[in-house]
Amino acid sequence: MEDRSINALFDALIQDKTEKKIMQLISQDLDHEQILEQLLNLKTKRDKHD
Amino acid sequence: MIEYNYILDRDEGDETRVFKPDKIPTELPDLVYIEGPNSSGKSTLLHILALSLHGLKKKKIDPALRNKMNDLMSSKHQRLKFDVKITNKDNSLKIISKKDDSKKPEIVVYEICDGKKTILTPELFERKYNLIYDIPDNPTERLNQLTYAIKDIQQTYGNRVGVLRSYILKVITDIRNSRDPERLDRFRKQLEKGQREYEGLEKEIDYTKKDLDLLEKYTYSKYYYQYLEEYDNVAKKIKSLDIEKGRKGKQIIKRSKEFENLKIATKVSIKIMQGIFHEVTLLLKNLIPKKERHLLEVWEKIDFNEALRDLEFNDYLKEGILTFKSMLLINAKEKEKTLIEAKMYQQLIEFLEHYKTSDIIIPGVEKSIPEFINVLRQANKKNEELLTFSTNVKKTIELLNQLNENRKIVEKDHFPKLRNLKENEPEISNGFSDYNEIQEESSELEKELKKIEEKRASYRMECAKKGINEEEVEGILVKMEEIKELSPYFRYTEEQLMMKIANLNKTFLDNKEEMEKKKHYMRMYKGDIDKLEKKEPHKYQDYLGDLNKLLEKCQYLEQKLLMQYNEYLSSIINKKPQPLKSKDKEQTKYLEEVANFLGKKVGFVRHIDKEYKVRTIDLMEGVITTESGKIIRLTDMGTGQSQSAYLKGLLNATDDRKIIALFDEVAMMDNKSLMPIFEKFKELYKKGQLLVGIVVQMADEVKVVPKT
Repeated sequence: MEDRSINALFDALIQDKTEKKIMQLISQDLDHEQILEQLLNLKTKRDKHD
Repeated sequence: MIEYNYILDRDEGDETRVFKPDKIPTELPDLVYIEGPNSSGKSTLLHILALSLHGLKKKKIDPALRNKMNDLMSSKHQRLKFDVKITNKDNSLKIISKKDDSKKPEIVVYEICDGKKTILTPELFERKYNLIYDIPDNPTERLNQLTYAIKDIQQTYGNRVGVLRSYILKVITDIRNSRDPERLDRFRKQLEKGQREYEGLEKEIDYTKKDLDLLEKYTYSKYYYQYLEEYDNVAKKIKSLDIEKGRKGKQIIKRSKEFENLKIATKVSIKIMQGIFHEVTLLLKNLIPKKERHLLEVWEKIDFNEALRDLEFNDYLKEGILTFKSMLLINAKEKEKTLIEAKMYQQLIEFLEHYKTSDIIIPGVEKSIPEFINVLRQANKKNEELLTFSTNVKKTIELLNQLNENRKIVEKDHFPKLRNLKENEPEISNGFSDYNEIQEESSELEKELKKIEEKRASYRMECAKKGINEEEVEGILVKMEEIKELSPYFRYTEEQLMMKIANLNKTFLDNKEEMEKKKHYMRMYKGDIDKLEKKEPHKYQDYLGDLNKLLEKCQYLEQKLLMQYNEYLSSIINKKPQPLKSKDKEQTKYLEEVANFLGKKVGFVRHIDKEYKVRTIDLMEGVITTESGKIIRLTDMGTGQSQSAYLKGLLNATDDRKIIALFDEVAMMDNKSLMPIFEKFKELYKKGQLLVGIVVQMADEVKVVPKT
């Protein structure tokens, strides 16, 4: 729903990788559990484990 | 296609007028330009369209327009009902809005998309459609409003990050309250440590108790016996003085003043010597080895009162001083090396005492500080005797030196003079120790005897408390002098022994208190361990470190979005440039990026007679920079051109929502300025991003121009 050009503005302003990822995830329609899973890279780790 | 109809009843006092769409057609194309005179219904049409699409719930709508919409809906003198239907170009989407009852405020909005009907609440409508309703007055100033979108998003994202931070914090708290293996391990280690220290204290208390008991028995027996002996000696002296007193009887002897004065001075000196002699004898008793004790027996027979009478000291006074001194010096030399070790231990213990409560484990020995202090104390026990011995030796030598100095003065100065005066004063033929002197000495000894008796009685009581009978004392003392553990104390003075007993008592009580504390902590740790063991581990258990880092990042980001960026944005809106001195890189970067964002948002501007692609819009400086490098000042732009730039900025939203754009009173815009708006309409309409685009303009006659 948010303006993509504003997201691009924040993307240019925020340099830290994790902060960028947080910004990207909170702009999506995700619940906190999903955001945390992605931030902790859980899916990738689980896939590797499997 | 836009189909609409409305009935507006207006109470004008003398009559109620009914307004219906009569000048502007009720069916309009999706993209349309409408001209008309005042009261032709063109603004009412836009108000009703906006109202029908939850326009009153939209924050970004200009307050002047909002007031007019509110007036239509809520004022007492007007009643409104309407029907609005918007159909897209391929007929796949319809938005229908109805207000059936002119007396009730309810508006029902729904969409029919590919045959499926969905009620559109204001929130759902906002998620799916972007209603832009604007009146572009004072356009240069209103370019500022394009930054409001940034402000809103900053606030929204800042709040979302804040909520995420709270969530992460909750997860961290949950992990800590669940079966945290790290915490469990820490508690177990603390419990083990506590257990070890408790057992150590238990042993120490046991040792202290035994030491204390033994030392008390030894001290009380020793001094009971010593004061018993002293009592006998003093009593004997008093008795012999009584005999002397009786033998001499009261005599009145006349003496010269010189003799009298010298005698008093000598007496004072000898009194001082007696005091030193008494003190040094007590010390010597503890310092002189057993095999040399016979020397002390001779030493103790030295009688200073006798010396005053005979005007000469016992020969053994000088000899004894020298013998004991050399004996002590040799002994001290032998123990010098061990003394250094003892001092080192002592200093190390004192240093470590400052860190007693810390959790440091000393590498190499793997012991906590209290445990290590204990080890050092045990190792230093034998050295403790040495330190006391060294102090006592030093003191004894000092006292022996003082005694010797006094002896020399009296022997070389006082005694010869007194002897000389005595010889030249024949009337003092019976010597100068007269009845009064003996009487005085005797009464002093009586006082001393009283003191000795008090001491003896007190030690007798202490012995009784320890279960020692008076008769047993001597035997027990002999046995005790064979006990190895007591040997460190043989060289202690009475005062030092009493001090040691007091210290041991304190250690005993302190350790008992410490043990109680440890017991309490162990109970707490056991409780915590039991509780934790019953819990299940948290699924994010292994990510605690990562979560803490994320929490920090969120806190930082939240602060950045809600505080820092907002301040930067306010400086743009209020046109307050950053002071040169405090110019920070982040703010400069922010200003640049906002200028880029606004440039993209507006896209193209028309200036004088040409159209330019915009690179940046610097609102602070009031300057537009084009891709070709042209710099256009906002103040130099025509009003219509600024309006055009502003409206295009509104249309250039880059999200996926379908736009419904309603622009009113674009009076300052000529055809050239309006052209880019209609171009943009067409572009978005073709892409399917624009559903409705209406521009309304003042004119003398009603004219409806389709722009599809």
